[in-house]
Amino acid sequence: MSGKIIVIAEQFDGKIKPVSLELAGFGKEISQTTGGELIGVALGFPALALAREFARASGLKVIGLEHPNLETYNADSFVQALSKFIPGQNPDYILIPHTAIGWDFAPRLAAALNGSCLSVITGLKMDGRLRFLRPICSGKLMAEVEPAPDTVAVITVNPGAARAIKPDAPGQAEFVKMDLAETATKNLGYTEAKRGALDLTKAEVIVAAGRGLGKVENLELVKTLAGLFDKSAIGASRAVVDAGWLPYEHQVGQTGQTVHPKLYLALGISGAIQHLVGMTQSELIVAVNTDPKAAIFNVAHLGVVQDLIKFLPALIEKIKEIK
Amino acid sequence: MMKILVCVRSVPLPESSFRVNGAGNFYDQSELNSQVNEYDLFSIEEAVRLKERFKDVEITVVSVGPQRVDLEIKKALAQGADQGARIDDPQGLEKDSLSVASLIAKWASDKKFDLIFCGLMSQDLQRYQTGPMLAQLLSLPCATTIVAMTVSDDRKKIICERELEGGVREKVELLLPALVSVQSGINQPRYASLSNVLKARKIKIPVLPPEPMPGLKPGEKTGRIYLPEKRGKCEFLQGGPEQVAEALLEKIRGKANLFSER
Ligand SMILES: Cc1cc2nc3c(=O)[nH]c(=O)nc-3n(C[C@H](O)[C@H](O)[C@H](O)COP(=O)(O)OP(=O)(O)OC[C@H]3O[C@@H](n4cnc5c(N)ncnc54)[C@H](O)[C@@H]3O)c2cc1C
Ligand SMILES: Nc1ncnc2c1ncn2[C@@H]1O[C@H](COP(=O)(O)O)[C@@H](O)[C@H]1O
Repeated sequence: MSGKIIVIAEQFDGKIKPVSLELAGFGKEISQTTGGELIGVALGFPALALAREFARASGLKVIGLEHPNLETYNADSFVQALSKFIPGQNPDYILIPHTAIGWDFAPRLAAALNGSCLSVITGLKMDGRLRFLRPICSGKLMAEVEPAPDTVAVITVNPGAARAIKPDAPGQAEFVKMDLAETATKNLGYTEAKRGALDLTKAEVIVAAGRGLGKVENLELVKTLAGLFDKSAIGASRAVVDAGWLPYEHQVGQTGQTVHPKLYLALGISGAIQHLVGMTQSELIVAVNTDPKAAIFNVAHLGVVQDLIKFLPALIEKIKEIK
Repeated sequence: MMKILVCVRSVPLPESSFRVNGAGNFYDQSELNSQVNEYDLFSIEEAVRLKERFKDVEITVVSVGPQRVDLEIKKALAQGADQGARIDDPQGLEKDSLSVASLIAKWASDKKFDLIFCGLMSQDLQRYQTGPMLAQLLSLPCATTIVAMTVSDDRKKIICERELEGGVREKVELLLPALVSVQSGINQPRYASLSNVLKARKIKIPVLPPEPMPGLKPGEKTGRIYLPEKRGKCEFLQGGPEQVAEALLEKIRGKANLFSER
């Protein structure tokens, strides 16, 4: 093992995604404690332009892996290319963004390299040796994980876990042509969800509904409450959207919108990490939840441990009284 | 005959009050009530829909863990699976994903499943790992995070829609046999019918010895589990609903002019 840290950039449509620079930032944090060399990798077709873009933005030395099968994302081709390229590099750490592309191939790469996969990593800790942090049990607990001894660690880093790297100078870029076999996987292209009219980022108050409301009828309480605030909008957890209570345009979180209103009211939302990444930047977070241990209270400024069905009517009455 | 495998994990109810165990390396599992991992319910529903469409489909449910996970296998059977199997590993729920995938892979390697379902993640350990690892160990093509899927009429391939960030979907075609990992929203799982619950009760669940794939090193190690540090200090408002409502309004009013003048 060489101490080397490999940072695998994510691209879409030939452009390096911003999450790749956070990933490089996370790599830098590791190298500051281990002293390991940081190297960027970008997979694509053509690969040199991609490698140059990542090298310029990150300051890292970047190697592009090129093959026509890598033009758009293909899990099999990614795993093939990387399991050919990686052993020659002999790294200790391979960093991959924890995104729908990253978590799709990272565990397979780890299995192919007989390494350890550390996923959904939100931070690191150094006490004698490096440990990595993952929230578990809906955020109610944290786990400290580490690779098995003498295995390469394939780490998927959660978006927001590190600051984007600030390069001193652009890095060098080069590329290698890969020799890849055909695969049983075919990427048929991308479609974009129809954007709804609702732009949650414009709202100053977001009243967000969670599964804790119990049933769709109780949404009326949320609507009434939201109607009492200026510049307000109704947000929702994914569970509420999945259940068909509200359309997708209301969803806040990793697969919904990222919001930062003046006031965020989380009503019956447990505080799963995928929800939190979309709303922790809010100025004032109020959480209402019957479970005092719910993870939402770890980010809330004001906590209300009450049954919504009793509490919301009381709150609505009080506001009407003042007005 | 189309053979489908659904991997099912037994998880504690998410609303449980979790405590750290004596060794400090896992949550205390005693006294927690369990359920089928939510994402695995979506898998079972998808499998049952395939059975309704193609008829000659056999759905097997497998779970790695101690005897108590039979409870979740039974629930999966009541949802419409045909048979269950438990890989009898007392540590099955604590083990890293690679070890779990290895046990399932070894057992499944000679069973010729056409399609394997996993959940995108377990609700307790939230790793997103086991499915893709199992695919890799069995040399199967794999798609994760699927929110829609269609098996072709000739049952030779499956077209999946993967949900990426920002509402983008990726369409991917896999030749069968293949493995998919399912994201929430793909369907609304049905409630088990009473007749299915009764039927499931009578099905015997074979207990299988835990055999790993040969030559695999262990994966990820969990060192310590602990309660997360709070980011800020959350101020809890105490009292009855009216009192708390009043106190809350005082607090948020000071913050900004938030009330509509209508
Ligand atoms: C890849 C991926 C992406 C995801 N993206 C998102 C995303 O963008 N946004 C998102 O929100 N989620 C997302 N999720 C899902 C996320 O993991 C959670 O499942 C989801 O946020 C849970 O929604 P919830 O908090 O409403 O429901 P639950 O987790 O079921 O929580 C309900 C809460 O309500 C409380 N409650 C129950 N009854 C009452 C009552 N009477 N009064 C008050 N409180 C009550 C409970 O104590 C509980 O805390 C994603 C998951 C994955 C795997
Ligand atoms: N002990 C287990 N037995 C059977 N399947 C499992 C087990 N653990 C995880 N899985 C499967 O792997 C999926 C993802 O789990 P994880 O990798 O822990 O996030 C789950 O939804 C299950 O389908």
